[in-house]
Amino acid sequence: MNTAVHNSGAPRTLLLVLDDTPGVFEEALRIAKQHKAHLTGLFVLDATWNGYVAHDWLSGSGSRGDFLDYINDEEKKSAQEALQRFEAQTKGVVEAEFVMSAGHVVEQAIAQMEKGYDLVVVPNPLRRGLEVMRDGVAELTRKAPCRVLLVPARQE
Amino acid sequence: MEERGTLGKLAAIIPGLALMVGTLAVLRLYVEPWMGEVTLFGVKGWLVKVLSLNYILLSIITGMLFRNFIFGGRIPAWAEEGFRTTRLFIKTGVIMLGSLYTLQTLLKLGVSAAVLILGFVFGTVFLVMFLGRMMKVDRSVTAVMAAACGVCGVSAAVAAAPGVRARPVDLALAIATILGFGILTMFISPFIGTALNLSDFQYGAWVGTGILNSGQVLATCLAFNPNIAPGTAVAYGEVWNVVRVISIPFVVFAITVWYWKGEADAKKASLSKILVSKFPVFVLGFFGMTALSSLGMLGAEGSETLHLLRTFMAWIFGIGLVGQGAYIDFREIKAAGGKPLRIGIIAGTTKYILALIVILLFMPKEVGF
Repeated sequence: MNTAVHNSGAPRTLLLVLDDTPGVFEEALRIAKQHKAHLTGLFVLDATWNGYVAHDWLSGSGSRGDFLDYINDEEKKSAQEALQRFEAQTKGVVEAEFVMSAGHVVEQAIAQMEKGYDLVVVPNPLRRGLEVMRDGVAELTRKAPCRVLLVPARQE
Repeated sequence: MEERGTLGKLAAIIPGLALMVGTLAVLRLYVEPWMGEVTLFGVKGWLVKVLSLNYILLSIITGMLFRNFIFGGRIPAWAEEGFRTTRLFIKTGVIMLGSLYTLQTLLKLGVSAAVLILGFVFGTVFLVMFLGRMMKVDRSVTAVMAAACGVCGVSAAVAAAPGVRARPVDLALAIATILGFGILTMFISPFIGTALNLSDFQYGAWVGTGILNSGQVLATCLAFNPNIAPGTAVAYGEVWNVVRVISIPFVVFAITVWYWKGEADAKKASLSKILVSKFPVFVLGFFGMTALSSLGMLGAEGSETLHLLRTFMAWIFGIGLVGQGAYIDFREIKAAGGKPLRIGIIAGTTKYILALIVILLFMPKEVGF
């Protein structure tokens, strides 16, 4: 089983899958500070909207194009906000790096995990892009090549 | 990303397309005839007579099975390009459906369709706006749900979303709601139609008015009566569908104007811009086919040309619907929730039931085609 709630050695490299779930970023930052670990924040721009509305046969290319451009812009805005927040909270606190990729959120997260991390912090449920509609955490923990810490949303 | 040439792109379509065509062939040539013969609960052909199962519903169900069980929730890369052609198949089929009418019949049916559609479209839009206000829902969510419930489901949501700055997460929930409701009505409508002994005209008018998604109107008409000919459910339902589709840009314009009226940084919506970008151009193809039919260029009723055309339509609808089914993800529909779900259920159910009542009270059993 990949899901870890205990430590079998202090993590030196930490990957955080970014979304807007409250409390997850803070938890990853706390662990990174505690173990002086390198924190990588991964933001995936969800590029699966074309498939999500693929059953819509009626929309013309204009309407569909406008829609996908709009979604793309919204995704970029979210990425920009995530970057600003990440930099503001990690600067001078821990050694950190922000990584952005585009595609299927879970696939991109697994591809990033395969680059080698001691621990991956994942919001539960994962609310990045269309993963809000899918059980992305189940797939992610099943395929994860390293230990995973699932963090539920903080009650606000 | 690897760039592919034209040949490469065509080759990438083959595996998925072959699966869709093969599936339909098995369903039409083996499964459907078998279902007509098999005796269940003492009734020969029970599956067809009672469950209204025909190759159309089987195509969608099989597509859903592919996606949710065999493929494990996602269309695999090898089949993706082929399945993407599903839109092309259905659009082509709908354009060809124009051949079922003459300009006179289209005009005659179109008038009653337009009256009913306009009443229900704007009635639903107002109902959703009222519900949105009552439930204190964000205006952009209300706007998207008004378009989706009022006109053509997902297509209208897609058309309205950029103009009303809908948040992607709300949009995803709205689409899941519309799709889930549409699937439910698609499967129960043939039962209700049969139980109430609705004629093809009444059934087509009802589902064309009451079902949220256009694709599901088409599917449920063919599920009720799989024949494609003048005077069948699909011939009536599609007139209603086309009128509805034409109204999309106008409804999107009205909703966009409403949305910006309530925003501090008000923007001006332009009807001409919306018409250019949102008008469903394929409707012109549909009218083109009607013109050809009116000029007698497709042959007289009963001609070999028309027979071939209709057989071809049945196949391309079937292939397209296997693909449509494969784009239905149970997890995504299950995730529908919150206020979009509540609004969708109330508005969708009201529209569906009210349309049935109006049809039963005011629509004759038969109308000349």
